[in-house]
Amino acid sequence: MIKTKRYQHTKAKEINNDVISNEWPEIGFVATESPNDPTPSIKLKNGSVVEMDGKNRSNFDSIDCFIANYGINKQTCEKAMSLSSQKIAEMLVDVHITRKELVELATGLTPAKLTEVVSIMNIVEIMMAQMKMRARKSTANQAHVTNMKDNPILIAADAAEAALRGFAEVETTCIVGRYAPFNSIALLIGSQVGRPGVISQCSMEEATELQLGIQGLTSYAETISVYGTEGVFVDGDDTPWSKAFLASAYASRGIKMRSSSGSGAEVLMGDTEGKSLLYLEARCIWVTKAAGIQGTQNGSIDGLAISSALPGGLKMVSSENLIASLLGLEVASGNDTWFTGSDMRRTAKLITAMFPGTDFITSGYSATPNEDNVFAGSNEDSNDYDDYYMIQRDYLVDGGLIPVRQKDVIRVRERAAKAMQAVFKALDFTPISDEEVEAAIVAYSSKDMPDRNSQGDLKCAELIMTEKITGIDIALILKKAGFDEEANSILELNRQKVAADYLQTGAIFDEKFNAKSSINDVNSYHGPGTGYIIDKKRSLLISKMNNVIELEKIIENAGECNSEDDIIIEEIGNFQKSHIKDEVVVAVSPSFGISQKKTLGGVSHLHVLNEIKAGLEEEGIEAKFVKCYESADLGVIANVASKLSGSGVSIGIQSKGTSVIHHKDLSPLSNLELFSQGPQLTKELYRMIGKSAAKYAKREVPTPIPSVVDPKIRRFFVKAAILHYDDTNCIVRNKPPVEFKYKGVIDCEKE
Amino acid sequence: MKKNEISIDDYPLRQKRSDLLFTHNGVNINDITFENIYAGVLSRDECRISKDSLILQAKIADDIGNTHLAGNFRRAAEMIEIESDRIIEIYNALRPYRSTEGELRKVVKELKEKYNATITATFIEEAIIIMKERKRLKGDR
Repeated sequence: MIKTKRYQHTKAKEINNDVISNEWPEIGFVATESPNDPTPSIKLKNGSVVEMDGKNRSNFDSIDCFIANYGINKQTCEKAMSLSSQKIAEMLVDVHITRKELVELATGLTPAKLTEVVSIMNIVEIMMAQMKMRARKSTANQAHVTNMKDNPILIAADAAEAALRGFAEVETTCIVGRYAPFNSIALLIGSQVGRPGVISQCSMEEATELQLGIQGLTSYAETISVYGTEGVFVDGDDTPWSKAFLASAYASRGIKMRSSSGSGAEVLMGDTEGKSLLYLEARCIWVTKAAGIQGTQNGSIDGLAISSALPGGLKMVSSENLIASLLGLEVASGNDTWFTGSDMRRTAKLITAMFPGTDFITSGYSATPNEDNVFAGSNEDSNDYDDYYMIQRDYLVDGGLIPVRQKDVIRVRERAAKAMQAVFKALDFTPISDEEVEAAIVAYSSKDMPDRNSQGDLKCAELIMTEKITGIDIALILKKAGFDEEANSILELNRQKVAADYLQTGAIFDEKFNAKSSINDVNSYHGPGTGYIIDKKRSLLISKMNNVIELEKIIENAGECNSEDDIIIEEIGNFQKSHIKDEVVVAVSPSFGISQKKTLGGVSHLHVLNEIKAGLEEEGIEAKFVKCYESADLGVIANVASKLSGSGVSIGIQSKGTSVIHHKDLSPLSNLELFSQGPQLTKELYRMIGKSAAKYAKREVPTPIPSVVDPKIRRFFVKAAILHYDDTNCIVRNKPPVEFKYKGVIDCEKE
Repeated sequence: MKKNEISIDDYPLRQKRSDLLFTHNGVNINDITFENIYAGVLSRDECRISKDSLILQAKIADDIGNTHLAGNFRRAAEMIEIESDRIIEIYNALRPYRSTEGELRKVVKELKEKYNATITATFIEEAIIIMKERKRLKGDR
C-alpha cells in the first residue's frame, strides 16, 4: 500500500514502539467501568455492614470483610452513600468544600462508589481535586538510589547528591539481596551528608526490611504490597490481616511505613474477577486505610505497562492517586516506572501529579541514570534534572527539587564517599581505596566504578546483620572519624524513632528535623491564593538555575571583541545626497560599532562592513556609509538611506546583525530582501548581501539569497531584545544622518 | 493521663513535648546523647520507642479525626514488648495456609496473657474467623 513520506517519519518515532491495546473486560483489561464492576451500595444491620457494593455479607471475600469491618465509617456511610456520585464529584472541585469535610465523607463511601465518583471527572478536574485533597500542604519528592554493581560508595555519593537536590526520601534496593545492609548504610550516610533529615529505606523482602529498620539503618518502608482480589492477595502470600499486623510491627519500632499498590497488578498476576483496574485499586486503597496505614505508594507502579496500554488508562492512574488522597492517605504518586519511549508522553504523565502537587510527586525519581536503576527504570532520571527544574521555574510549581551548583555536588559526593571509607575502615571491612572515592565523586554510572571484591563485601555485609550493627554504631564511628554533623543527624534520626512524630500522615523532616505532616502542615487549599504558596525565598531557589543569563551583561558582552576585530567609526559630517548611480548607501543603527561591536551571530561589525563593501565592489559599485541617529528601526534606517542613495538602493544593518536591502520607492516596512535572522548571518552572507544590493543598483534581477528557517533562532530573542533596547537608547532625536568612515583598530594603530 | 491532655497543638512532640518522650527503658529522649552512650548510661541498642509515645501519637491522630491510623498505633503500642524475632514469626503465622486454627488460637492466647495485647489479640481472632470461612488455614489448599 502506498504510504506518505510523513507517515514513514512518524512511524519511526519512539512513541510507535509503545504497546497499546484494546479493552478486554473479562480478563480485567479495562481502565474503568467494567461491565463486571459492582453497583455501589451499603446496608447496615446492628451497626455492622451486611451488604456492600451489591454483595451480601455471606458472599464477602476477605478483602470485603476487612474493608467493611475496619474501614467503612458506620456512623456516616448511609448518609454518604445516599449522595449521588455526581454531587460528590462536584464537591471535589468546589473550593468551598474543605478537604476535611471530604475525607470524612469518603470514609463512608464504598470502593465501587469511590470508583464511580472519580470516573465522572475529567483529567483537569482530577488535578484540581488532587490539589485540594493532598494530605500535606507542602509537596515533596522521593528518589531511587541504586546501581547495577550494588556499589556502596557510589550509593552514598548518589544519595548525598539526591538529598542536596531536595528529595525528602531516598529509596534503594539491591541486585544481590545480601548487599542490603551495605546499601542501607550507604544510603543512610549519604542522605545525611546531603541534607540532614532526609529519610531512607531499602526495599527488600518483609523480614529483612523490618530488621534493617529495627537496627536503625533505615527509617521508613514502602513496599508493603496490598492487592485488590483475594486470589492475588493470597498469591502475594498475605492476607489483609497479616499486612495490617506488619504495619503495626513497623510502627512498634518507630518506623514510618506506607503500603504499595497500583492498577494492573491483578492483571499481571492473572486474577481480576473481570473487574476494572480502578475498582480493584479502590479496594487496595481501602485495605490500606482500613489497616490504619498512613499512606500509600500508588499510581499503577509496576502495572503501568498494562494501565498505560488502555484507553483512558493514564487518566485512571491519576484518579487512583486522587482516591487515596480522598481517603486522607499520604500519596507517593508513582511516576517511578519507565513506560514509554516518548518524552512528550512521560512528561504529560508527570505533570498530572506535579502541577496539582502530591505528597511525593514521584515515588522514585531515579537519582542515577536509568541504566543504574535497579527498579527497572523510572519515568524520570538523573539526566532529566534540568528539564524538571525548568518546568518548576516555568510554571512556578514546587516539584520538591532545587537547582544545585556543581561545586556543592562535588563537595557532598566527596564527603559521603569519605565517610563510607571511614566507616568501612573502623568496621575492618574490605577497605575503600582513595581511587574508589575519586571515582565515586565524578561517576556517571557504576560503569565508572572499579570492581570490588564481592566475596569479601558479602561476608562483611552479613556481619552487619549477625552482629546487629545499628545506626547508633554508625553514628559513633562517624563521630570518632570527625563527621560530627552526620553523626548528630543519625543520632537524631534515632531520637525521632522514639518520638514517632514522623509516623503521622505525610510526615517528612526539614533540615532541622522538624516533622512536617498533615497534622502541622495540613493542606489548606480552598481557592486561589490559599494552600501551599511558594514564598519569595523558595521561588528564588527554584528559579536560580545555572544557565540563567544576566540581562545587564548582554550589552557589555556585545561591546567586547578582540582588538583585531575591533572597529573605529569616524564621522565625516551630515550626509550629502549624491546623484551617482553606481553607489549603494549602507546604513547602520545608532549603537553600531560604538556600544555594540558584534552581531548576535558573533560577526564583528568591522567584518560586516568589510564584507558588504567587498561584495559591492566586486560588482563595481561604491559603498557609502551612513549612521542613522533618529531610529533603531531597521525599516526606517534603510528607508532613510535609500532616499540618500544615488542608485536608490540601500542596505540597512542593525547592531545585532539583522539586515535588509531597501529601495527608495518602497515604504519603510517593505523591502527588496530581508535577512531577519540576524544570528544566522555569516561573513559569507554579508558579502552576498553586498553583491545582491549591487545588482539591484545596476537594475539587474538577482536571485534572492536563500534564507533558512530555524525555530531555534528564538533562543536569541532575549539577547536580541536587550540589544535592540540598547540601540534605541543610543537614538539622538533630530540628529540628521551622518556619513562615516571606519577602520580596524589594528589598522589605526599601524598608522 | 487525662482525656484531651494531648492535642494536635502539641505536635511535633519532639520539639514541643519532649518531656513526655522516653525510650521503652525509660530514658528521656533528650538524654539520648553520645556522652550518655560513652558513659554507659545508655546502651547502643536501647533507643527504642515506648508504648506511651505511640499512645500519644494515637491521641493526636484521633484528635485530627484519623481513627484508622490511631487504631494502628494502638496495636503497635501493644507490640512494643514483643521481641522482633517473635513479631516476624507471628507475621508469618498469619500468612495464608501457614497455621491451623489451633495454632493461631495459641498466638491469641500468648498475645493476651504474655503481652497484654488485647486489641491485637481481638484483631487476630477476627482474622481466624475469616481465614476459616475463606479456607486460608493450614491444610486448606
